[in-house]
Amino acid sequence: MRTMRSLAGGLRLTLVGGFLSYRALITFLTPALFFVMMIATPLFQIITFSLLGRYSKAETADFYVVGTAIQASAMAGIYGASQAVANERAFGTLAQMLISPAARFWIMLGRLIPTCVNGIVVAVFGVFAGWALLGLRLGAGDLAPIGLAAVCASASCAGLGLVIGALGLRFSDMYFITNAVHLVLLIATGAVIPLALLPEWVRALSRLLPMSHSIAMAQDVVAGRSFSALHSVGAELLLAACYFGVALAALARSERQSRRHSTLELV
Amino acid sequence: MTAPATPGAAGHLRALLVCSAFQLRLLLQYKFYVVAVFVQPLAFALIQFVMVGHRQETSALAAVSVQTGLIGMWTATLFGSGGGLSRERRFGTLEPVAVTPSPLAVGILAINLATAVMGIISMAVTLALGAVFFDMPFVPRRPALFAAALVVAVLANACLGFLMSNAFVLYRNALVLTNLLEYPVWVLTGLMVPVSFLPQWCRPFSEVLSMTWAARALNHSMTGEGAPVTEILWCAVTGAACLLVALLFLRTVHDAVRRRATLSLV
Repeated sequence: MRTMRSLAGGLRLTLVGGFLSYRALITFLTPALFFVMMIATPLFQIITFSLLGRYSKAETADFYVVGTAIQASAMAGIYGASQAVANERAFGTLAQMLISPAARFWIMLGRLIPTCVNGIVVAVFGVFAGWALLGLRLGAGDLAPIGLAAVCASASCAGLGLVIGALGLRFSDMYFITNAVHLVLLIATGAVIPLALLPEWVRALSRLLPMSHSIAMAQDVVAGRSFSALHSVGAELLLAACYFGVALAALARSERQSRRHSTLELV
Repeated sequence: MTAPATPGAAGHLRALLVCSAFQLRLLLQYKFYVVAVFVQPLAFALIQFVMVGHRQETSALAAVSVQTGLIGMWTATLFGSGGGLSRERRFGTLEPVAVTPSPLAVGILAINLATAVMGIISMAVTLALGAVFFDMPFVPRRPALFAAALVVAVLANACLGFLMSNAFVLYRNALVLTNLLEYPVWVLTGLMVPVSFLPQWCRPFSEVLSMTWAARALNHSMTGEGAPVTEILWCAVTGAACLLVALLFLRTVHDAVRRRATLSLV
């Protein structure tokens, strides 16, 4: 009974706290900026890289459209999740969060879920935009696995965003890290460049990066190739769990260091 | 008592150069711009070298360094112009800049010029990457024309940034416009794929953008082919047209923000 009550409290904290922090801490939530960051920029990114892909003749156009559509959710995951944590310090509310008795696990889960949902919306929009504007060939049977890929990619990407956010509690110039990570995800996840064209060490790195397993699955789906949903989804969710664990550890360390050096509120 | 003499053209030019140098030093303190002019062009150069390299066309591959250098120049100009004015607003210095004896255009153009100059760093970085890792030439076949094209490209970019700055003066949420314009200009100016690869309806837009001519002039000076002089002239003409339109707009925008008293609202 006590466990159930604790679980219900944790879930409530996750949902209510997550919703409030999403609205309060993410700076791109004005309607105009949200439209640009979550709709227009991903759409332009999909168009740009599918044009480059078609020009290179390295793969079919569908390969790039679906890959960049899934990858476009990185914007929501990386920037959203990192802001949802690191902006606590920028907005002067970090101390209140850290002195609350709430378990860090539920707090961080609350930061992960809304940005993850945001990422799914962006990826799904990207896929349909690719279908409507760029001639992406989609069968009815393709929708479920591509949707699954979008969910997993968004979850693991938001996990990485949380890690950056937790680090951002210690370092002032978080956007330096988010921009650099966004570029790494663009190059090494197989969305923009087929992994076969990259060196072996980049391919090895891509297996540890969020999104690459989901992107590969979505690309296999549209190409009509066989794929193992269990393997791809499992690998991606395992990565999401690992990033989430690292984010919790980084938050705990940032908290300890900030208390020890009295740098908690330094922006 | 006599009124202080208003600065003449030489005074305005001096103010422009001094302010640009100051803005450049300021910009280099921000890690965001370090990513924009160093890391992002490198990332896009890598993407293009791998992807365009798959076509096995030497001429297309040779253009990658220049194109991705210009990508960095555009990003720096775009985000620097928007960010520069937002920063002045946040620091509370935009109103003092607007009431100095030098025209407001000088203060704003100084920010645009500084951001465009940062693009030279991008160009050096991507040319070095191409030379070291992809066996591309580092020294242009026509160095004097390349230098002239680069100077005109910087000035034309600054003028384009100046034109956009009108919107940033009028509209506080510059981040919306800057994020919106990054990819479309890369595509329209042929920095990602050749303009000839774009749909027919896109091409008139490409022809009126100075970056298109800058890319052509720099590429041709690099390879020693084509007619870079004509392209440099077209780049200068399209840049000058931006400057003229921007100066016309600025008067209206300046009057509007004074009338509404919104210049310093963050």
